[in-house]
Amino acid sequence: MDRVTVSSFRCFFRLDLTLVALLVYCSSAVTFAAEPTAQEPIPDGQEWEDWSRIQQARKAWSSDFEQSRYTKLRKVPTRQSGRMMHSPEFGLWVEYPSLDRALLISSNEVRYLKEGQEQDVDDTGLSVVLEAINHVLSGELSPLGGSFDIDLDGDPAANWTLRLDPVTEEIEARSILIEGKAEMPEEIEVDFGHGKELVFELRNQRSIDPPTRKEWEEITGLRKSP
Amino acid sequence: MGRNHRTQEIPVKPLPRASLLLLATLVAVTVIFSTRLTDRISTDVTDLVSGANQDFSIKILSKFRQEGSRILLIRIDGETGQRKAAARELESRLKELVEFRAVGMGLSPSSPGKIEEILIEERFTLLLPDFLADSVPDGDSPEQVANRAVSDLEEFLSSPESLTFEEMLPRDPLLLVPNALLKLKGPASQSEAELVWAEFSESVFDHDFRGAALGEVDSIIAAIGERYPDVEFTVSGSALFSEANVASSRAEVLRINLIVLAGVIVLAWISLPHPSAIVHLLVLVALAFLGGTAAVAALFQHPHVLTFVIGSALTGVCVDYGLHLLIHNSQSNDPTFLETLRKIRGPLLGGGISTITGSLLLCFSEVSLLREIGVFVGVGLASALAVCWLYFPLFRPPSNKRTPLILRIPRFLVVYSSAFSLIALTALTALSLYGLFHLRWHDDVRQLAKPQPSLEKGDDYAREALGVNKGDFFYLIYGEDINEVARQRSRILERVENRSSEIAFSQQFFLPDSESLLLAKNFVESNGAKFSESFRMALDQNSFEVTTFDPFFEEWSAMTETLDFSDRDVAQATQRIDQVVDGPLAAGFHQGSSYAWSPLRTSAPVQTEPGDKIVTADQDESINQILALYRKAFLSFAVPALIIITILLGIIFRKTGLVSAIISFASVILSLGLVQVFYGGVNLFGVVGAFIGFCLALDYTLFSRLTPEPGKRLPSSVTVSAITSVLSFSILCTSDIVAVGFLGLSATGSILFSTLFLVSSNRKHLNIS
Repeated sequence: MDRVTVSSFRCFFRLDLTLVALLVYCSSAVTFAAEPTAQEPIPDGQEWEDWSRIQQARKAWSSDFEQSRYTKLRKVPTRQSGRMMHSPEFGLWVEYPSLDRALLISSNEVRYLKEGQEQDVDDTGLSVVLEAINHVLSGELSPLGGSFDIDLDGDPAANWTLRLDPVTEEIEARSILIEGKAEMPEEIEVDFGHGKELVFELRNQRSIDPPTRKEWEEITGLRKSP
Repeated sequence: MGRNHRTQEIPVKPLPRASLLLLATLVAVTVIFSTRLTDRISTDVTDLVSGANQDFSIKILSKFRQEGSRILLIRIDGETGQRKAAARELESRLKELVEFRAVGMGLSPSSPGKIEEILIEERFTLLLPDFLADSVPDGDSPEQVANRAVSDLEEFLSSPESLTFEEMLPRDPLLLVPNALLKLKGPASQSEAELVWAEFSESVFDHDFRGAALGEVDSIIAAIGERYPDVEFTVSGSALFSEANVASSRAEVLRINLIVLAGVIVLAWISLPHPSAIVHLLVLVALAFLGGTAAVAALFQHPHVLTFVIGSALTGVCVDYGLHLLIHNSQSNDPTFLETLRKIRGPLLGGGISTITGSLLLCFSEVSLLREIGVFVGVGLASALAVCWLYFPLFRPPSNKRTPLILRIPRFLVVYSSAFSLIALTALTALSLYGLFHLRWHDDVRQLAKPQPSLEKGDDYAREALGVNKGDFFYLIYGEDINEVARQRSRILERVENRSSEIAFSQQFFLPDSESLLLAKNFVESNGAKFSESFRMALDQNSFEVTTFDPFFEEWSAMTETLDFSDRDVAQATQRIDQVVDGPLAAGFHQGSSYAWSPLRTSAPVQTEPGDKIVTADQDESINQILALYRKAFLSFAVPALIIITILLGIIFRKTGLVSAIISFASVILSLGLVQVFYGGVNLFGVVGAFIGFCLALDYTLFSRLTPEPGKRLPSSVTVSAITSVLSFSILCTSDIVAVGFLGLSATGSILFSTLFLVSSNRKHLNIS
C-alpha cells in the first residue's frame, strides 16, 4: 500500500494537474480499500448506532430454543429443543441435551461436540455463517463488512430485523435473518437454499452475569490445554 | 634436520604404462561411482536392518516409516485468529511449491472429496457389514433394522454436523459414510494449535531436494511470521532429522579422518626417513577411501551414513601397507619400491588378505549396515594393496635420508617398555575382568543416531497437535492383505478391550472382519429385498420424502444382485481409498500388492500372544529386538569362524599359530570387558568391533612371532601399524554416536591387549646391549 502511495507521489512531478488529481484519488482509494476494518457496506445512521449500542450494552444472556430444520428430504421440519448461552467475550454455546451434542461458536472458529468429545467436522463454508451469527449477537458488524450485505429494519429499541446477504459464493447460505426485540434476539433463521433451512426460535431469554473464563469452560466442558 | 633433503620423485625410467593406465582407470571408475552416491545416502535407522533376509515385520515398519518420512508437520501456536489466518496462509503458500505433492490442515487429506466419493461408491462393501453387525446380532428383524435406521436419520438431521452432510443423504440414508468420516478423523485434538502438513513430492533422503524444500519452507514461514509476529511455528518431520543426521555424520567423518590423518602424518614424520613419504601415504589413504566408497555406491541402493563414519577407521588400517612398504624400503635401502615389494610380498599379501577376508565376512551378516561396512573396509583395503603395486613403483625411493625420529627414543623407554606394558596390561586386565563379571547385553537403536534433543522436543510438540500423547503406545497390525489385518485386528482388540489397563484409542472403521462380511452376505441374500421395502415404508411413516431416496434404493437393489462381500472386494475397495488418502491419515492403513497394515494406539502395552501379527510402531523398541536377534546371529557365526581360524593356524603354524590365536582371542574377550565398563553394556556393534580387533590382533601377533626383529620387542612395522590402528579406532570412541564408540573401543581394546601382551612378554629376542 505504501508503495502505491509513494509511486503516486513520484508521478506528481511528472504529469499534469489532471493526472495528479486522478493519481491522488486512486492512491487514496487503494489506501482505504485495503483497510482491514472496512465499514463501507454498513450504512451509517442513527439507527445503526442505536442498534449497536443497545446490543453491546447487554452483556451475556441465555435462553431456551426450539430448532426447526427444513430439508427437501422431509415433508415436515425436524424439530429439536435445546439451550443457548451467549457471551460477547467467549461466543455462542448451543446445546442439544437430548442428543448429547453441542456447538461452540466463537469469533473465528466453530467447535462440534458429541458426548463430550470434540468432533473434527469439515465445515468450510458453514463456519462463516455460524461465526457471522455470533458477531451479530455480540453487536459487532464491522467484521462482516466484506462478506455480507447488511440490512436493518424496524426500531432498534423495540422490534427489529437484521438481514445478512452473503456477497461471496464460498459462504454456504443464501441469507441470514435475525429478529429481535430491543437487546434480546428472538429468532435466527438461516436459508441455505434448495429447501434447506435452519430456524431457532428463542424462548425465556434472560440476561445473566458475564461468565468468567473458568465458569465458561465449566459450562461448556471445554478445558483448554495448558 | 631435514633441511638439506629434497624430494626426488623423478621416475627412474619411462612410467610403466600398464600400471599407470590401470591406476588411472581405477581412479576414474571409483570417482564416477562415488559422485553418484551423494543423493542416495540414507539416515533412516530401519535401513540399518533392511535387506533380503529382513524380518517381515521390519519390512512393514520400514514401509510405514518411509511413508511417514514424506510428511512435514508444522504446528502453529498463538492467538486463535492470528494462528488460524497464519495456518491458512501457510497452507496456500505451500500448495504453490512443486516440492510438495499434497498439503492440508489437521488430519484432513488434501482432497477429502475424493475419499468421500470412493467411500460412497464402496460403502456397501466396506461399511454395511459393520452397520449390520451392530444391528442384526441383537436378533432384530429387517423391519426393526429399518425402523432404527430411520430413527437415527431423524436424530442426525437435528444435529449441527448434519448440515454438512445433507447432500449425500439421498444416496446414504443409513448414514454409513457420515459416521465413517466423522470417526475416521477421530475426536478433534484438544490442543489450542493449528497443524499444517505437507507431503514431499520426492524422497527426503535426496540431499539437494530436501535442502531446497526445507529452504523454501523456512522462507515462507519467515515471511508469514513477519505479518503475524505473535504466532509461533514448530516444524517437524523426518526431513529435519535427516538433514541434521547427514550434517552431523559428515562432520563426524571429516573430524575422524582429519584426526587420524594428522596422527598418521605425525607418525610418518617420526618413523620414516624422508618427509616425502607423507604425500605417498595421503595418496594411498585417498585412493583406498575412494575405492571403498565406489564399491558401496555400486552395490547398495541406499547405503547408510554410519557406514562412512565407522568406515573412517579404514584410514588407520590401510595406511599400514604404505608404512610397511616405506619402512622396509628405508631399512633395506632397495633402489626401487618394486624390489622391496618383491621381498615383503608374502607378509604384506598375507596380512592384507586375512584382514580383507575378515572384513568381507561381515557381508554374511543380516544387518545391512554391517554388510556395507564389510564392503567398504574390504574393498578399501584391497584398493590400498593395489595402490602399493600400481602407485609406488612409479616413483624412486628418496636417496637423501635422515635418521627417523622414532629411533631417537630415550634408551630407558626401550629398556623399561616391558615393565610399563606389564603394568598397563595388569591394570587394564583388572578393569576388564570387573567389566566381564558384570557383563550384560544392551541393544539400543538410539545409540545409532546422534541425539537431536531440540528436534525430538519439536517432534513431540508437533505430534501433540495431532492428538498423540508421548506416553501412548503405537502398533502396526499387519498381514498379507487387509482382510488378514482385519482378522488380526478384531482378535487383538477383543483382548485389549477385556483388559481394563489397555485402552485402544484408534479404531479402524472400514475394515470389516470375516464375521461381519459373512453376516452381511447372509442378511443381504435372505433379507435384502425385505429390508428395502421396510425401510421405504418406515421413511414414509416418518414423513420423509421417499422419492428423494430413490438413488439409495436403486443402488441397494443393484448391490443385492452383484455384491458377494468377498475378501477380494474388500481388498480392492481399501486399495482404492489407500491411493487417495494422504497426509497424516495415510498412516491409517495400507493395502499394498503383497502386504497390508493398520495402526493401533493404546494407553498401555498390548500383551501379545503367539500368532499375533503385531509390531510396535515405536521404531526403537522393535529395532532393539531385531538388533538383539542379529547380535545373537552374529555371535553364532563369528565364534565358529574364529574357532576354525584357530584350528587352521594350528595346522599351518603349529604352536606359534595356536598361541597367536589364543592371545588374540583373550584380547578380544578382555576388550569386551572394557566396553562393559565404559558403556554399561555390550551390543552388536561392540561384538563387531571385537571381531575386527581379532583380525588385527592376530595379524600383529603372528607377524611378531614369525618375524621377530633382534633388539626390539615388536617389529617396527607392527609397532607403527598398531599405533595407527589404535589411533584410528580410538578416535571412534569420541563420536557422539554411541554405537560408533562401542565398535571403536572393542577394536582398540583388542589391539591394545594383544600388543601390550607381546611387548611385556617377548623378552627372548631383546638384546639391549
